[in-house]
Amino acid sequence: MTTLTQARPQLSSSSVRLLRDPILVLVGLLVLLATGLMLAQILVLIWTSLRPTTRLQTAELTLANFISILQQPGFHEVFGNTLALGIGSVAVMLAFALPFTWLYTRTNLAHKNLLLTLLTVKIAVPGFLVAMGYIYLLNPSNGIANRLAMDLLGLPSPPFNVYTLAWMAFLQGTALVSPAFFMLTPTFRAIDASLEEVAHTSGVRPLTTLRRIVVPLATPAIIATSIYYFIIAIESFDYAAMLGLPVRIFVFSTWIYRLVYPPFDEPRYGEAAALGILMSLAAIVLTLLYLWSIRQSDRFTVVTGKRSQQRPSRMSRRGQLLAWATISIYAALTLLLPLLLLVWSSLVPYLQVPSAAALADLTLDAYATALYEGIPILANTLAVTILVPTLSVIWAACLAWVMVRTRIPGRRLLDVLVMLAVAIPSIVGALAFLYLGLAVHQVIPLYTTIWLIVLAMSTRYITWANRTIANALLQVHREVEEACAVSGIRRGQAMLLVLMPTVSPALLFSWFWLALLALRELTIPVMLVRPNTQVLATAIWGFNAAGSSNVASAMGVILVTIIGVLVLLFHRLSGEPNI
Amino acid sequence: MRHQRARSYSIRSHLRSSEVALTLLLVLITALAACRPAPPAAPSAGAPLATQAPASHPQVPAGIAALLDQARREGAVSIFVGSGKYPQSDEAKISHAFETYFGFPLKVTLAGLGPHPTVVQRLQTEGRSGIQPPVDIFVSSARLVHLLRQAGLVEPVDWVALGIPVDDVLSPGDATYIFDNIRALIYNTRLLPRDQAPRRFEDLLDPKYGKIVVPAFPTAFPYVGLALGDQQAGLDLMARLAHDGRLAFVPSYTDVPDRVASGEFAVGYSVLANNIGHKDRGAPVENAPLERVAGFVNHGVVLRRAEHPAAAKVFTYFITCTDLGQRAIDQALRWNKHTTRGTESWQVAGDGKGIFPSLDWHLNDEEQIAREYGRVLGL
Repeated sequence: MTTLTQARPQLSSSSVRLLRDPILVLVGLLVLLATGLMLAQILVLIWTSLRPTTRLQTAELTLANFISILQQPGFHEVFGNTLALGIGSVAVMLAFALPFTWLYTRTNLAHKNLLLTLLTVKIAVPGFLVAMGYIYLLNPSNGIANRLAMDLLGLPSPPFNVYTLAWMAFLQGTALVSPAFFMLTPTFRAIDASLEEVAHTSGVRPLTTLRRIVVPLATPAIIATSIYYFIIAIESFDYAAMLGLPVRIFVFSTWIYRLVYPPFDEPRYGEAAALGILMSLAAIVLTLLYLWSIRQSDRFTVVTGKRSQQRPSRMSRRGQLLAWATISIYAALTLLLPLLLLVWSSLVPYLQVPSAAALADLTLDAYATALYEGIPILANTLAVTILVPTLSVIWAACLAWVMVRTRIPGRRLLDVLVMLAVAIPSIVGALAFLYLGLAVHQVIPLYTTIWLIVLAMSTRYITWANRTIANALLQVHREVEEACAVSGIRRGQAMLLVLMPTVSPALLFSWFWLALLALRELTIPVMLVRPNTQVLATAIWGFNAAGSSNVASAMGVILVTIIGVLVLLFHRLSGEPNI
Repeated sequence: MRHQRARSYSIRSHLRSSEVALTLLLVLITALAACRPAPPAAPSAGAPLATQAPASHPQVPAGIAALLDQARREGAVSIFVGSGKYPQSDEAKISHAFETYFGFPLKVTLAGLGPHPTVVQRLQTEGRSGIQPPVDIFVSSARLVHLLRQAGLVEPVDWVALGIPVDDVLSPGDATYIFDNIRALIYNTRLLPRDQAPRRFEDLLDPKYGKIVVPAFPTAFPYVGLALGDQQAGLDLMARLAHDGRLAFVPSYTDVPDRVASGEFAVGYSVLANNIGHKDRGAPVENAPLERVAGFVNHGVVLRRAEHPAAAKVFTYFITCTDLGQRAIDQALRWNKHTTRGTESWQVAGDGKGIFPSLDWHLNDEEQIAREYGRVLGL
């Protein structure tokens, strides 16, 4: 007699496991969706680079775009400028980010929440506004610092000139300190303090402990951070555009912008995509270095299933003063000065040097205009600020788990794909989504909605969150999951209910950090924005580009204020004295 | 386990407080959005616009009159204004003038979408994918309007048939004469007295003017050659300035007055000094007293698939042919004609000082000449 069970089709054991673990199914779908978006971006880039640069609708394939780029007379100079900008930016970034991270996570620095607040608010200030403030301060024509120096010291010529590659690298590097800090903090926090306690007991100084114990332990994360932000630095646009274009100092990002938005003639999308491909190839080399550093990660595992006490290194009073002097100088140069100049330019009807006559012209008209123009676009800004980090963190967590905690074949390729997504310059990635939006508009009318910007930014930010979350997951030993398996907890449940809470600081940091970045992101929205999808950043850019610097500055002050409120709110919600 | 229970309780209490906090934040934002402040008052400039009672039967051509009901139902219109940003008070000024003339309200949106060439490219790209244009009326030079026409993006409106005077209609008949764009030299009045300001473009070679701020668009410079009467002379002049490092490029035309007003540069070349209202706000910027200057006519066209086609046609008629409309756009946008006495364009390019090339030059010569300037300047 045939039983019902014998008549039913037999499922494979892996299929049965999968069906019993719906969380794993969901994770798989999310990974597929994220992978699809990242792949689509790359494929569109390749497709665009192989089409005639101004006739993308033809079926003709050509390598002419690559040849044209490589044969440009100024290619080598632009290459050199880009390399110098990248190396200089990362050097400046590490010079501040490493000591700040160590001070915050591993020492008893007094009032350390103030450091966190400073670094968080720093992210909030858009790069081009900082550049604008420094132009106001250090331009060789009538910069305030130059005029003061010439008047007080009797100098025959202005001593400062902000329109140089060195200043671009310095300002770019200081702008990267905050995101690097947030990327390194989870790693530094997860390092077992017992090693430092032993060093302290043995009489080793804190700086020596930092140099010989903490930094080596965090080396994979530092290398990964450096590689990551080198790529970010060379593709970044704000400072290169504000400080380089007026004096014709080109780097790859401004060259791409010029190709997409030429002052004349049609956009050269093909050449822009070809240049993006060339930059991506360079990033592949860097990705191989990154993967090598990740393979060494097991030697640095210091977070086990056992909880350990975290006792910060004690600093002397002199050390505290030195630390705060350094922090103060950084804050003055990168936050206080630009903000003061922002406030000043928002209060005067047109840009002018502070003087008695200028003080008589102070007015709040720009704020009235800024509020009236800005409030209607708050809905878009809110949507972007909430949706982008949420989608990015969810996708990034799923991807990081697959890459770091599973043995699924092809996970290394996934890692490469995620890094390649970083290698694609933001401006070219946005271009890819522009074409995607146009191509699917008849079927999926995303192009005219805020969702195109949300998807483009979320795809872009996956890599930002992925590095932070992956670095944190690397610090969690496998015995945590082994214990769950022994206890009968399904893998999906272990991932969602055990592993993710373990790295919840990294998730929270990532979400919050991406929310701040989304709030001030300019490059992607400026490529995709339409009148009904304006966000605060594009509105600021538009007013600044139009010469309404006072309204742009007023909006910038409002934006920074909103960020400050969000930061305070986050501090309260976290419920801990330190994040 | 006890610690985990305590931690979960702490998380729940934090979540509750976070829900409350987020709700309060959303309520605050909603309240702000609902209670928008009153539009900021723009500085008054020029003669006050007419305040007569709304006209129920304005004297308009029959073709325009037939569109009034549809325009009333549409209730709104948007017009491309380049890269300039104008406050809502300027929009309200124009809307009020329209309502005064026609007797029904029309919400006017001044869409500062970006530099003209960039926006044209965008419109072409989006048009090929069937996307509705973001504005109803596009205003720009003959060359750029022609590009849109070639791409099939211009509504073939027969303005003459609608009753607009032939003198205000531009070839091939689907565009109207809106305003003039003068490519002027401007200077900072605190850095240079008027007798030291340049009177000819050749004067720029004098090192006393320092760096000259200019827009990074090759299409800006053929008008230097027109003013000099010889394009080769214009090319030589700009090449010399570029070679000597005397040029500073900025990303938009309207950025130039801002940089000159701030004192960062003593002299600039792009738009008129009050193009975005700097002079109205008391900025120390003025037009250089050039002996000869060049400019071009800006055409207004209704875009195909515009969201408000009837309103666009009525509004175009309003700003082209009515005194109230022209004064409204002059006061709000500083759009005026060199043939209208008392306007800034007339002061700089009126009485025969201005050179305005033909349509043929725009369509056949301008692009090639601009490319030459681009090559010389490295743009």
